[in-house]
Amino acid sequence: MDEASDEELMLRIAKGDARAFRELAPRYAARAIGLARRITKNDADAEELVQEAFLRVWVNAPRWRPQAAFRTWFYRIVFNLSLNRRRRAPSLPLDAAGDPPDPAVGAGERMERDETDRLLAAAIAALPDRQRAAIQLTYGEALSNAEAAAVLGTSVAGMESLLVRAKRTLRETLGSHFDED
Amino acid sequence: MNSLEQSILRRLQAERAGEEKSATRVVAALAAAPLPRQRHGWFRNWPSALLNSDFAPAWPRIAALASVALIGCTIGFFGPGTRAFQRTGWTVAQTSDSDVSGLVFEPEPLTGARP
Repeated sequence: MDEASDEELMLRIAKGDARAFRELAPRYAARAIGLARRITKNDADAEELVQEAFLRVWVNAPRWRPQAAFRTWFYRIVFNLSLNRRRRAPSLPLDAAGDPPDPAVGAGERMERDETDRLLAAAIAALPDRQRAAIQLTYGEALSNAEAAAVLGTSVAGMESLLVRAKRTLRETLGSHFDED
Repeated sequence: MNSLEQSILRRLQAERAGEEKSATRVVAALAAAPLPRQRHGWFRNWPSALLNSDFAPAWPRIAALASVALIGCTIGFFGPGTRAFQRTGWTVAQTSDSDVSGLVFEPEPLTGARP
């Protein structure tokens, strides 16, 4: 049986169908937490924000119009809530430790890669909010530039500029690790 | 895709496991709590808003009230005595003289009591 599209589920949610809502939420919960976590830098805040974002989806579903893709609209809610939270209270940095080891690589190579990953995580965390969100939306959520631009409320050119600046900053911060690019 | 982009991708994917756990908690919390009331457009749903506030509309009474209000407004804006009515050139029968100064209250001739 074909899975209902997000937009079909939203139309059912708009009519008060709680089952449709509970079918839609798991599709985006993890991704939304990734975005919220990237901006707030706090796991607990991210969970709380995503829950609030889903409740907003439920409450405002009757007023949703399917002109824009659901995920763009939803990520925008998450992004705005995250920015608001971040402006209100600065939070502790993300804990970068605890990634599972990759069994495909040797110990030395793994250590080097872990170190690079750790530095990269810290460098991403140090980026300005919008650049960090641009990185997350493009590489974490695989959104097109147009979709990511819609989420961030900017033009495609503006989005590309955010990405270029983010990657330039990362290269400058990480120095020798990515000199060959 | 260059090595920086590959590293970013790998880094973000490595964090996905933790995000899945968080997502499970969020979805469970959403399933456990009752969902709030949905927000509908006011124009489309004002009768249900009234019902929610125990102001149950009785349609015949609402219709009667609306009709009377409409008639009142029409007379108020376009009735006799308004400029709009005078421009039409129509005439309306009116009492000839309603000057209250013509009323005289005299004292009772016998008792001298005043009204």
